[in-house]
Amino acid sequence: MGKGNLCPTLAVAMLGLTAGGTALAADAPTGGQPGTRAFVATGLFLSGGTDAKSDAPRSPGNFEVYLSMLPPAERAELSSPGKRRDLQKRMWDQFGFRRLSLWPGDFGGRSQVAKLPPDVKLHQKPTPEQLRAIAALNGFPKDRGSLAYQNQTIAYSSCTNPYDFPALAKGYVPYTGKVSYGMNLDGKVGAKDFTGPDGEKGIDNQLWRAIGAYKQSQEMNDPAVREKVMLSARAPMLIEVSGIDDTVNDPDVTVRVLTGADSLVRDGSGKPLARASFTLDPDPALVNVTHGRIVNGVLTTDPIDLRFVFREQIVDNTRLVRGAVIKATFTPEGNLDGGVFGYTTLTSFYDMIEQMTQDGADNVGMSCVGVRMAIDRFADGYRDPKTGRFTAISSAMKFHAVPAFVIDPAMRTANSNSSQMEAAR
Amino acid sequence: MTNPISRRGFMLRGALGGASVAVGIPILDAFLDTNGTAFAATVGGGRLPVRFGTWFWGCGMIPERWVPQKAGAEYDLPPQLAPIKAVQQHVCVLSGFDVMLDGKANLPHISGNTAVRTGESAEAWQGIKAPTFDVLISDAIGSGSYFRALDLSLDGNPQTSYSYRNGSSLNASVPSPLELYEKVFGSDFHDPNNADFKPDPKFMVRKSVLSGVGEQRRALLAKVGAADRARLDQYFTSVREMEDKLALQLQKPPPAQACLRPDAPVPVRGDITDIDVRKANHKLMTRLLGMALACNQTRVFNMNFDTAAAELRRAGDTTGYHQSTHEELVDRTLGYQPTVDKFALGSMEAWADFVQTLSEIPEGAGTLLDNMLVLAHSEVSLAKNHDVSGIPVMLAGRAGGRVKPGLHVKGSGEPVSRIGLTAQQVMGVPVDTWGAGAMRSNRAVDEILV
Amino acid sequence: MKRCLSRMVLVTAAGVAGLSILFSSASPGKPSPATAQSSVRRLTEAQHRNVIADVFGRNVEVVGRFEPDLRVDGLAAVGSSAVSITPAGLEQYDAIARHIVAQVFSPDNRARLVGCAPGPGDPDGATCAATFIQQTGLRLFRRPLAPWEVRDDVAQTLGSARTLGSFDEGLAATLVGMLTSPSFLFRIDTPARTGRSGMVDGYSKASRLSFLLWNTTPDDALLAAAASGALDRPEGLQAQVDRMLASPRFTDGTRAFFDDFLQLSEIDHLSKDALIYPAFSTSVATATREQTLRTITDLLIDHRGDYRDLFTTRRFAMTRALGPIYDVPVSKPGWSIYEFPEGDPRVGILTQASLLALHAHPGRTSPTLRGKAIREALLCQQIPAPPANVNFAVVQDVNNPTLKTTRQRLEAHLDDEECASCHKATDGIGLSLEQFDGAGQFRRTEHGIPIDVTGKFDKVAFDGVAKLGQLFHDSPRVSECLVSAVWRYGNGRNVQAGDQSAVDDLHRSFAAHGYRFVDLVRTIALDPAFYTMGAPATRSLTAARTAMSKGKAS
Repeated sequence: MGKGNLCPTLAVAMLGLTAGGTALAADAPTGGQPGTRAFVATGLFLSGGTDAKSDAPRSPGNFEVYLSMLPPAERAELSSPGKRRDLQKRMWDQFGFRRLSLWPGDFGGRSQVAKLPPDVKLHQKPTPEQLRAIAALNGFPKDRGSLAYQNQTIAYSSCTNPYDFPALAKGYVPYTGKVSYGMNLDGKVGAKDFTGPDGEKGIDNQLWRAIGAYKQSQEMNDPAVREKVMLSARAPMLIEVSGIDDTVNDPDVTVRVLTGADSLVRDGSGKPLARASFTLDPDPALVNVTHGRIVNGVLTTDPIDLRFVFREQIVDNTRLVRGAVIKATFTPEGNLDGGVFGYTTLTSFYDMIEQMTQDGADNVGMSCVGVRMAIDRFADGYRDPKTGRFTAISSAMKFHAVPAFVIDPAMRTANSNSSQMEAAR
Repeated sequence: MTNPISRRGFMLRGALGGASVAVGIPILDAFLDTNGTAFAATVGGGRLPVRFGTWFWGCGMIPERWVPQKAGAEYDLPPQLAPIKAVQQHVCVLSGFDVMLDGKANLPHISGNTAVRTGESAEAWQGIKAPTFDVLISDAIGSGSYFRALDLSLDGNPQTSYSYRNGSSLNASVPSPLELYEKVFGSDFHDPNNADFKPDPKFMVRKSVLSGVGEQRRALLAKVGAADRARLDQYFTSVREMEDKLALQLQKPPPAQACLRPDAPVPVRGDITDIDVRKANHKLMTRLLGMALACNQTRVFNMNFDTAAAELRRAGDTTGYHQSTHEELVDRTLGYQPTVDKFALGSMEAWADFVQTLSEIPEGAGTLLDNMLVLAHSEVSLAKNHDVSGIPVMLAGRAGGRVKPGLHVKGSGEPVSRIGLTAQQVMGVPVDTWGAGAMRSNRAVDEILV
Repeated sequence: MKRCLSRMVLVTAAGVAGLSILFSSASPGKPSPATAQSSVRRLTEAQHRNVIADVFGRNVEVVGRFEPDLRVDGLAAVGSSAVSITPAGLEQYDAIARHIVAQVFSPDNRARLVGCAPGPGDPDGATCAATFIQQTGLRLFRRPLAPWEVRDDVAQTLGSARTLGSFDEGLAATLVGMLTSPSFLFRIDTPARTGRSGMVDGYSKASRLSFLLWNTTPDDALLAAAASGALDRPEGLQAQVDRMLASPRFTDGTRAFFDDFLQLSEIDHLSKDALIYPAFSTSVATATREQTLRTITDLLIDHRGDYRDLFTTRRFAMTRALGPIYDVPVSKPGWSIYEFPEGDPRVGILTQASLLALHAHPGRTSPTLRGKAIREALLCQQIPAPPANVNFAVVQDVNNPTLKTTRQRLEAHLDDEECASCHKATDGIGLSLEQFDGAGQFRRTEHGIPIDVTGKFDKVAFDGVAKLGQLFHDSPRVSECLVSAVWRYGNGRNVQAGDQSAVDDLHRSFAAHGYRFVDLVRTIALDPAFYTMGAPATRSLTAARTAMSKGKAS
């Protein structure tokens, strides 16, 4: 500890934070409110398990499925080199997939432009009625035609309407490994449950069972691959832990999970910039508050329904994880590493898949239909009393978070001076 | 250096003798740059024009196999850069320069490219807010030649171009060697070695104005003290030197020694999407381009080896380049995607070919490449993730002595707009700040500047 | 990374009689030898830009590379009296001029800036040209053009117009000539024609005043005061001085002074190792400069504060880009004032990232560089360069297992009495700043060892940078240095023997009236000595004292 050049009140606060030996990142007296540590998550990755066997069955993507449906001669012709475009066109034509641009001239000229009714302006999101009119004007099947690609197209495909195309689920296989990352959410050890990587039984991660056999999922589960993924993170998740008396053991802390309105920025070494300030997204629905405890440096929160945003490349998706628990470790470098465990609602999860678009799904080797049917099948939480069906599915997401400052809207108008005077008392 | 005053006297006498003085100019000290290298070409003031071009390839590279470890000269060549070994001395590698999206979406294969070429990422080419930097350069230097610029593609598609004046004004490409031949060397060919030279009156006026400034010397020196007299005299010496440079512009340029009208090319046969056919087509196109440059038909060009989200494929493989970047699994033993790696290598081989061809055309005391700046870039680094950090950029040529070749510069997360800014400044565009938002920059990449 | 040297050697172009201004190595503490009284000062880049903005409007871009400014004993303002223009530099000024002129004559601007054209009453445009040349010349040259100058320029315009076939092109070519003329690029004083010998004329007064207070060309009101002779009368001069001090443009002038005084332009060339200091980037570097300038103007102008409080203030200008460096939450994306709490290590400008990062290496701190910079800039002392054969290996080896802190490595490196004489002066200050790393970020330990922040300033031992700030606050030498720096900045030369008593008087007045920067500038601006031409001995000391006693704070 440094020489005694701090005034007594701050020294007491500092003592609280440093006792116990876990070194902190903020080793300056300044660094926000005492007893509060905030972090920004640099990415949230669906995690599960990897099959030990390299020849474990994989779920096929759309092209594979479609080729298997073709008569042998055509299959041979369209499997051959250079025919991928033709294959895609044939598949789209056969199924009647449509995609028309509402913003003329984009997408490398491959998209046709939709005919627009006179009351619809360019570059303006159409109302539901206007959308129906556009669909009708452009020959979409009745009650079909959805906004896609960030509201820039009107589309009809196996991603907008998966139940219309059951054939594309052909060949789908669930993840059959025994081991998966996750948490025992229902407190029981059941037949459907996984064993955790450290041997813990009863792990609930049916989402991984549903999509884990897709090649894309397996790749994202590999930390080496994950680290190189784009951190566009335009709506980063912020985790603020306050009321900390001791980062090693503390029976009660308050935890807020928030969404930032500012993007995550990289620092000069390519890693996420630590100790940046984030203004909060003003939507009150994105403010999630719960309590937690810290045991041996590991934070575990009480379950809440958690809403956060995943905004990456062409996807802008609000996710809802019900009964979500955060379990994470305060690391010696001053970061927070851990996971979010809970029941992701089928609606909010599939919304992300749909936003990938048919073309996206084609290219990454996934099948929207396969995914849709799988999550319906393996859903295991929050039964809807009216329909009797489960509306959510157990899931686990890993994150790595670095220190950050959360700027509450209320704080913005107050003189920062006064909030520091509060801290000094 | 001998007394400069007598040289000046000689020059002035020659210039006063008449408007067009068609004499071969002896190599005087006054024309040498500070290294004593002959014919130091400066834009607007020298004798040999400096040309600028871009060379585009799609789907980037695999960073661990492309980025050299060592910075500076004699950088190491990782596997994907091995193809440039023979031309490494001409090539600067600029790694680690990022596109900053400023909170905007990363539109696959679009955001990176718009950012590199306009200094600000856009979600569609139609949404770009400024011309691409090659247009800014051709606006500054292109008016002195027959074609403001030459835009070229190799896939038969004139839409394969990343040169825009604004969002709705694409500079379409000449999409095949045969069409390029017709355009440049066809019946309208302007042979530089036959042209009648007419001095530009603008230079006469500028020279005359400067001369008027110089005439203030006596009156001004009389006003000031001794120490100040010496400083002002230095200023007036600078004025005289500028007058002399302007006088040079009033004389006929030296002949284009390597210019020879070529024969019409024989088109390459085969599927133009196959990478080997593409490389052969590229070789043919490059030779024609080189001759067009040597004949001073243009000073600016854009060569597009393939498109962003490359449509290239390889005979015998089931998936093309772009699909491979997304679909091919990372090989567990190798640690990278093998097919993607092969395509990236093929792109680098084509680049090496391009540089080699231009370095073999003699010009002045060196080669055509010595009087060029070529900026090669892609639209992503790791295509698998549409990663726009560390977008690969390479430079070739010496820009008439303004640029040092053969260096590896590590950008360490600096904005890629610094490179576009540097290229413009080297080529004489009056700009000190370029780019928008987090990519707004006023710092050139000093390491490569002479 | 460029660093400024404490001595400059200047030699004019080869082929012309060489004149060198050489400062020989001085021992620490003594001021530099005399610089000659100069009546020719080259415009700095900032001044050039400001003048163009004021004459043609802010929308006219000034683009290009400027001939670099020269610092003499730390001030570019003094160097401006020593430099000329090289051929390459002139080419740049010419290119910059042509770009400016193209914008002036563009359809967007022509009506506002040129306003006339050849017509029935003026078929060749000679009258239009004459009017334009006179009006623009007055603002660009900071003086009226002589009739022969106007005549020659009009003739030039008409001739060029004939050659190019366009009046506008002819006039544009003349304007380029004006923008490359020595009368534009240099501030050239003209002696007063009648009466007071040894003084400059009214326009030269206006120019000196305007560049001191606003760092730009005189505005219309000031030019009118020069024309009417008001500036030759004390009450006329005072009216202009007070008007200009009350203007927001005085903030610009103050920024220009402190930017020069603290040599913050070096930040443009600053870069740090991205792996060691990943939070530091070029935009952060730019923000640190802005932070220091805003902190200073907030205290000295907005609050008319005491200069000494700059070393003890807890009010730092702050913006989001700097949040990670200072490890504080920043509520707004723009600029605001952040107040550090009592007991925080951030106190005073010596703990601001601009100075801390500027005077450090790309990957580690340097107590010696920091101490040297502080001594030279803020205490006006000279620190000589090290001898040529010094081995830096020990101090550069940051991974030494036994010498874990910079202090330990420095002490091992200074094994020589000869070294100690200078290092005592620099390291005593610099070592107390070691809790701030090479990017200005706070740290308690280095390689696990708690950092010792004791130091010594002029024989007084202290513990911690807050105490250092207090010592600077209380040191007369700090305020004396500021006074002499402002004097040198305004006069464009160093203090000579004959000036010393005037400068001492200035300091006494500064100290007696609360150390207010505004008042200091006012006193200098009202002093007739500020408007002399020729050797300082011709000036009357009495006149100076009289002027000072009148120039009290309002």
